[in-house]
Amino acid sequence: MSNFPVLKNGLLNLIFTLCTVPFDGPSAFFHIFLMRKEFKRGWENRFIRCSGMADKKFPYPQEVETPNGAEGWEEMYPKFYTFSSEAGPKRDWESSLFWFQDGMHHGEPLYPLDAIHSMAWQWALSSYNSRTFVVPPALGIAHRVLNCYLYITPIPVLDQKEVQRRVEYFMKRAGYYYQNWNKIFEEWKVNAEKIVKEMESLEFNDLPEFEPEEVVFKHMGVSKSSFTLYENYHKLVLQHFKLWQKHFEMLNLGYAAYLTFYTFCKEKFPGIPDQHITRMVAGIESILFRPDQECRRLAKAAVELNLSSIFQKRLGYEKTVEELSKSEKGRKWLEELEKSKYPWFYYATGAGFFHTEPRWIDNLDIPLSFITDYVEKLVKNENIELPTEKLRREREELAQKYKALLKDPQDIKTFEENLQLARTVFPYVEDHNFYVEHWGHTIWYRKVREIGSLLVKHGIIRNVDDIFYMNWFELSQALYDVCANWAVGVEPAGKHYWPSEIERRKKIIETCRKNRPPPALGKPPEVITEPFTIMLWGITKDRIDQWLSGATQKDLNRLSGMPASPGVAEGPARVILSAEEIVKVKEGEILVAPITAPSWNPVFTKIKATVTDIGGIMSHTAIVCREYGLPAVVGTGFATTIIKDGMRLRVDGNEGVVEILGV
Amino acid sequence: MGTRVWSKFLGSRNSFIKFPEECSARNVHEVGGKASSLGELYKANAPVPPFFVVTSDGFKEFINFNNLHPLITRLETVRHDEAKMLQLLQDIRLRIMSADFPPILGKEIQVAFQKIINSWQTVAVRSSATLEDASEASFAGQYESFLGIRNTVQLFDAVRKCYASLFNDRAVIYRNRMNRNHTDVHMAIVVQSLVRARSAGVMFTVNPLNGDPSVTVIESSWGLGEAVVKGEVIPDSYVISKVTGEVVKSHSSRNKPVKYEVLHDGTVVKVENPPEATEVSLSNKEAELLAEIGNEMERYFGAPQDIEWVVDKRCKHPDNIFVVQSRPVTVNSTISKRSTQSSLTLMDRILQTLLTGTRV
Repeated sequence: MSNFPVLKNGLLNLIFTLCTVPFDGPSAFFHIFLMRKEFKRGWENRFIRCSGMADKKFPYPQEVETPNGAEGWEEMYPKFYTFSSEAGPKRDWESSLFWFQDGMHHGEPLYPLDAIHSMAWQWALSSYNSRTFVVPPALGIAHRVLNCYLYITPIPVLDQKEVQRRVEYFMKRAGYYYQNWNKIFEEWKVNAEKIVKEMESLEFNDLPEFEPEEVVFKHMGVSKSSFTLYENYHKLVLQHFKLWQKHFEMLNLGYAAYLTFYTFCKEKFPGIPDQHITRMVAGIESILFRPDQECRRLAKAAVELNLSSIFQKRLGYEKTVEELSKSEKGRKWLEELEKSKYPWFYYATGAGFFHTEPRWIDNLDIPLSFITDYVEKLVKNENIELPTEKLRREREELAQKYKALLKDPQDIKTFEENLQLARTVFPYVEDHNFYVEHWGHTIWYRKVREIGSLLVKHGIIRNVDDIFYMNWFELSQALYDVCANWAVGVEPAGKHYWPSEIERRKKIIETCRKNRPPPALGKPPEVITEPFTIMLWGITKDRIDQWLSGATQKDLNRLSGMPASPGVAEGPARVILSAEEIVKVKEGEILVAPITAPSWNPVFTKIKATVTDIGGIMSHTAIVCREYGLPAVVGTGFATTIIKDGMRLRVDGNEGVVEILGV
Repeated sequence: MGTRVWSKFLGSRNSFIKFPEECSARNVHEVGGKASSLGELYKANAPVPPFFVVTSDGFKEFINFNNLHPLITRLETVRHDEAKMLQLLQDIRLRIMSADFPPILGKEIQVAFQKIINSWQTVAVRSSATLEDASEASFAGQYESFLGIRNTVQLFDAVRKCYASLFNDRAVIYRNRMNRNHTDVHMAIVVQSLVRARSAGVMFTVNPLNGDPSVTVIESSWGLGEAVVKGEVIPDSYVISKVTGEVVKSHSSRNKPVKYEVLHDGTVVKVENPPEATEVSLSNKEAELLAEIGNEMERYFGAPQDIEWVVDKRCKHPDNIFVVQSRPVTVNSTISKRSTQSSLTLMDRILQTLLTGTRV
């Protein structure tokens, strides 16, 4: 790829970008940008040049057909959040961009209420880039939904003078954050936790027949019950948005610092594998590993207390607790379990963006199964300690060896300074998700379900989880309906239309789930130089070409992707499309998934290799596989649609190739 | 490695035979350019195929014993009479080819040869002229080299042919033109075990395309290194990180339609479309070991090296890898230049990264 031109002003991107790494939330935003030449408003291509594949393109948004049975999908989302089907300036603008389906975080159809997460990150990420730190060449990332799937595209600053004008703001503001990084991060943790706890403290009580007396005798002056319900819903929404603001407070800057080190390494050592750069920087004890660490701790405790046999029966959580409570030692272990639960089991099994993903605390069978896996290893005398000392030593050696290859004293100084800053910012980059997608979202879903039970009582919906079929604006209306008509003394009107509407929406979502839309929309770029796009999303020109050809050839027996973790392995495939299926994975299988998440970590001790549809060499899958020494091929585009359970696969993590050896 | 044990065993002083640890740049006048560079490789800890050298003193002894001096001296007098000179040269060569080896020299050669031939079956005999300046070094290739030597009769014959090659027409005309005295030129002989090449190729201890000092780059194909050097195949290629010693990138070529092999009699043949054409010619393990050897050589020589190597068919890993030649690489690249980041403050570097982006 050395013939890729470096585009001036190009990139900026990065920072839109931002995000992600190992584990991140929406993070990652790629960046590709290209504009159609015929677009008349003087757009020019900033990130990417297009031309080459002139005859090949992805469909424009308006060309994508609505699957049979999904008609009316767009009514589930606010108008500003969907592509226009009618001709006009909005549609012209949308068609001028290259959009990607954000499979990294939103790879399934968006439930209307779950779309609050993507809306929250669109707003938060974009505002830090464009208006807070004034990143000179980058505005935000635009979102649109098509057939229930989220597409995104980054927006550049095109005017050079404007870019220059923004520099002064950026230097002053970003400079302040870098200088005070650790102090700000310490405050950040306190404040993020405060927001989560405020969400947690919100109560959603049912409406009484009459207001309590205190409304009168303390002359409160409001309808306390209904007003508090309505107010708390909005507080919950606002705290959620606020938590997402925190998510991006330092992330974009963290990425820019990391990328500066990355760029320097690539300049001096063009052949340095990206994973070496990450390994020099990455922390050894990110709190994202903490839930897994807690499982190890609890497994050790179980063995020390001679309780292994109870665990090995694999009775499930309820029965195991019942067994354990019968003995002194068992009760002691249960006390240990309680210590781990909060907040470490407030942990999502996916990227955190879907209410359907089980969370540990709500499905304790999940951590229990991981704990039992560790117990079994211990019983077999296997070591389950993470080799943190070794990892730390290796990280230092790696950095020293690269430094030793530099000759110029100025370069050595640059290397040291860049590395130090990258290491300073990295704990934030690694840890922030725990507060937001894991802990925060777990609380969000709990509270939303409390509201759901209330709506069930008032007849607006039939089941608690039906609430996720209303978007957050509609939920506000439904609550108004409940509160106001409770005041009026009649039934809420929604009782007569929401239940049937929700049934209709369920069918739409299910139809869309079976009809995955194209991975991208619009004309593809000829060249991609933006590193986040490549590192995090695995979106390169080769990948796009493959998407374009893969779209027509579903009978391939050879898939290529990015070689993300070295090694070669053969074994039977296990296709996992959503987080709740993760328990199906058996020892010795090859995991095939759209993407993996940090909470799947324990499963990596069972499998032989991993193949994903999405992701680059900085994606979670890549990082975890390298840690566990498993071959991984990421960003194959279609693995989960082509590979079926039980097929024999050969995964070559050196070459980035997956072969289907037999069915 | 076998080399070492073997040469220690035979270690010798004051004889006409020198072993690897006795060859270096310092005694190039004695062992010749070829042997002194092999000796340097040996010192760099490179696995050089076992060899010994018949020194230039051996050559002198041979000339004296057969009383060839007067004939050679006469070359000076016929410098300007080409017909006479060519006739004289033919006489000299015939005399050399029929000459006897002095008993001590012959015995020493035979003993040394026996040690190699027992485990290697075949050796190569190469001239290692004791030339002092670079311009003549480039002429070295004009002297002879014989592969496929399997017994002492062939060996002595090959050594005589090498000696005679010092007096081939072109060599003499060249020395005349350079105004060199023919009696000053001597020749040492390298007798080296012939590696039975399974695979061979080249290795750079720096990326020759961009000067990246953090990687070693290897190209490999089946048989002798010619296929790679002449560019007749698309080689298998490997990039090995010097930092972790692991293959970080590799490409297996399906297009290696040519293979060069040495037959028993020492002739080199070109095989078209060998059955292994589409197979991988070097394992990752072998590539990683090669890179390790290359790193050590780079450290010893203090500069990146361009190395020719061979994997032997019959030896077992890790003793199957041999280095046959190494020379310094000079890469003109921007890598050695100071990074543009280094003239900026940390904040300006971040800004620059945002504004210019990265080539990935």
